[in-house]
Amino acid sequence: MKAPSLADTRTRTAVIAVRRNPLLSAGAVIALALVAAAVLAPLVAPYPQDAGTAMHAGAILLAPSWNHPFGTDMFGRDIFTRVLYGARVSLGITGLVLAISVAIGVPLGIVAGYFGGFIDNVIMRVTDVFLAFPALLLALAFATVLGASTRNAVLAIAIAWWPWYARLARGQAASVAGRGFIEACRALGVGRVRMLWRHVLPNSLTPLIVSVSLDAGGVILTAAALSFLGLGAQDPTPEWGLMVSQGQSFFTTQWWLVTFPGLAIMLTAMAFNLAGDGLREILDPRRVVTR
Amino acid sequence: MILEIRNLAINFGARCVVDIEALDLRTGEILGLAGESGSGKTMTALAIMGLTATSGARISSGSITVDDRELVHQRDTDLRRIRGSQIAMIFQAPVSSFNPLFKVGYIFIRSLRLHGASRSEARAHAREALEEVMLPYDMLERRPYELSGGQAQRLAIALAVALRSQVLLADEPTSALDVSVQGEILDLIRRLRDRDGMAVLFISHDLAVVAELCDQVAVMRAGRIVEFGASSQVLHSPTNDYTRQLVDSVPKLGTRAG
Repeated sequence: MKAPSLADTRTRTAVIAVRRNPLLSAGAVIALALVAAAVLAPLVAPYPQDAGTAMHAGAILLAPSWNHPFGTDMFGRDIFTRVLYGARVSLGITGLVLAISVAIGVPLGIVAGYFGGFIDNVIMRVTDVFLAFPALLLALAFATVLGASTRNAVLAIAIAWWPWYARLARGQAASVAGRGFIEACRALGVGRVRMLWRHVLPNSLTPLIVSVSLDAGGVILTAAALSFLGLGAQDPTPEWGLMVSQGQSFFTTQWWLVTFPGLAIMLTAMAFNLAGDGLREILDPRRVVTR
Repeated sequence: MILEIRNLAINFGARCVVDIEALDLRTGEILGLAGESGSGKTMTALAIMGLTATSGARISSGSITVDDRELVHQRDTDLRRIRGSQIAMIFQAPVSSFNPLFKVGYIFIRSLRLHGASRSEARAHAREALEEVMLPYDMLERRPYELSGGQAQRLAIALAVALRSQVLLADEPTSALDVSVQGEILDLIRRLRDRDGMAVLFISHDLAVVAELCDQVAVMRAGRIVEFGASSQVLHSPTNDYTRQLVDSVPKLGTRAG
């Protein structure tokens, strides 16, 4: 007879925590729906060709109906289809931005925090330079310099984003570096690379996971903002920010051009924020669940 | 002589924190290093490990040899091979000496593999070592936070045994444990000395423990060794004023400090 292992108990605790936390559940459900939409877009969308360069001269600016649940745009493209495909673009951009930012910021932060001293100073002063400007402004500037395209928008946002992760990782690594097992590892002859990769990094991850999930909403908003200003995705890419931008001149008469992609942006950002908040509550053992 | 320290000086910037003329440790000997906090005991141990730099200190001169091999100012890659394999160190807070994310067994196997053991050798050495410290083999399935302080310290010692370390640097290994567990750990250290001929540098501010365990004792104050000799002699009839004060400061049962 084997007693239930601690890992089982932890999984169970996590499940209970998710159930008790309606915000997290709501956020997670919406986020999952979004992922599903992105993955299944070609199967679910009624007019897949409308995500591309298709034009339908006979179906321009139709109001929402059974055939076109979200209406059609100025080229006669089905907005519902484009919003679904937009989930692909938004999630793709967000995933890439976060991955690049983490890939740059976390290693630099871990190195700075673990070694301290001169290296720490150099890395942190560089992040200070980046953090001196608002992230959106910095992303705008880089997007302008790099030229307007989806790929450049990803790079521009990542450049503005990584210093946050560098800071966060540095703080975590610095506190982990002072813990007993790091000293014990040194006394066992563990090398620097292994120390950082196997011991410092994994013990610094929890707040990073929370932060990344909270930031997803912000990245989606920033990407939409860039596209809205014409510095991100270009037509015919079904990007939500771009769709809002293109639809705004029709807003007073054809409200659906702006409303549905706008709602999609809002829902997505909110979902990630809720999920991130919920994750923080679950992963932070010091936080007492009050409900 | 397994460990020899000669004219060792360690500096924090311009301030000299350790200045030891000579300190020797023989195979099969337990040498106590006693003294109050900040007297340079731990710094001396770190110097032997070649780890002074991580606390911002620097060995400014002197020589430390283990098995006739010079350790001062050697390349870190060379020292890494000696750390753990020839010299092991155990610490005051045993539970936090284990990375909480790994099972104890993984830590054992990794450490042994790091020093060149094959997978099967590593497993065999770990098994023998656990027997030697009288812990069940399934202890390796546990995670660090599932261990008591005494178990964790036994495991730390078992790791040193598994790695076939010749020198054990024990930095206040019993200070965080309660008295009954303390006794078990001291017995264990004594057994390792008797069975394997391990040389132990036992750092402690607890004179009662030092008197019970150690063959020789060096008393440190402000980075210098102020008295050295057989522990019974040093602690029962100290010649140095400071040692006398230190001995007198130990509260005894039935007496009350005035």
